[in-house]
Amino acid sequence: MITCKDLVDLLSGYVDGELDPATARQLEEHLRDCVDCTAFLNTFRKTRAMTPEAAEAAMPQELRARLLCFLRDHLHQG
Amino acid sequence: MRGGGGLRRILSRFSASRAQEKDRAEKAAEAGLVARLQAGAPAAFEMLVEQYGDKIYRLAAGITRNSADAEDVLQEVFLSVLQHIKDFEGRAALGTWIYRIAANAALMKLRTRPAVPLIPWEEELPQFRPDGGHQAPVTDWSRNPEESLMEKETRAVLQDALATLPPEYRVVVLLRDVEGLSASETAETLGLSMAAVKSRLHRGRLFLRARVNGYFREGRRPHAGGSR
Repeated sequence: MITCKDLVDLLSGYVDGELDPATARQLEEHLRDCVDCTAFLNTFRKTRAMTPEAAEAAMPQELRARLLCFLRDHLHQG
Repeated sequence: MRGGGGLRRILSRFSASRAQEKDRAEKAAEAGLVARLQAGAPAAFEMLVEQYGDKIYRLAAGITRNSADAEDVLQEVFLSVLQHIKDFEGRAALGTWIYRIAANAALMKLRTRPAVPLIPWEEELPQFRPDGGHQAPVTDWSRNPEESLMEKETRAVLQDALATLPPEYRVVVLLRDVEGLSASETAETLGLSMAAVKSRLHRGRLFLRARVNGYFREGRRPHAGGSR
């Protein structure tokens, strides 16, 4: 039988689908009876889902144009 | 029932064969792009900027947390590709090779900065009782109404948390959860073992969740600070 601590330790493996089926089943059995672990899993997943948006940074168009110019210059020199 | 199982097997084989076909087509397209880059074709470099420019800029900005540094890294990466593409033998995927150059260049930028104040990890990781149960009840804030102000504030909390995460953890989170690299691609990119990638990713995710959790628990943004 796994504890809440065991479950939290295995959570990345679980959300990434890397656990063996028997361990994943044990974890799901624990989740059925544990509201705290269910809340932990939901908030862990939510954070992961929000991470790409929090890390978003678009390359400015002007930088793209300068980079292409820079590469063209180097290719002509090279 | 047997018929249903047979159909599932056929569908699964069909889907595996489509995935292999897609993989072969992507590898062929990449080999073609590498050959054109090695021949010095300007259009190939433009295509490379189209394919990787935003990704590299986002990774560099994520690691350095500074747009001027991200710009330098972007330029360094493409210059390095231009200078070394002739030596590229295809042992790693082109993307992995480019991400490796970018991660190294961005991490190098951080080495010149003063050390950040430290926060003990123990304060940021979940606490458990001796019997392995949660120390305190866990609140489920994942279904909070998506009010735009709250979403914006939560995003800012997560941005602060990412900035506070130690770079060796941050780079793993960025490659796995933002750029979508697999654990093995991340390990290859950073020259780490799979175990190290998985451990850093898990700790990093726990740290980010703890910071957002703190915001929902206390109703204010946690103090920004370094962590090691």
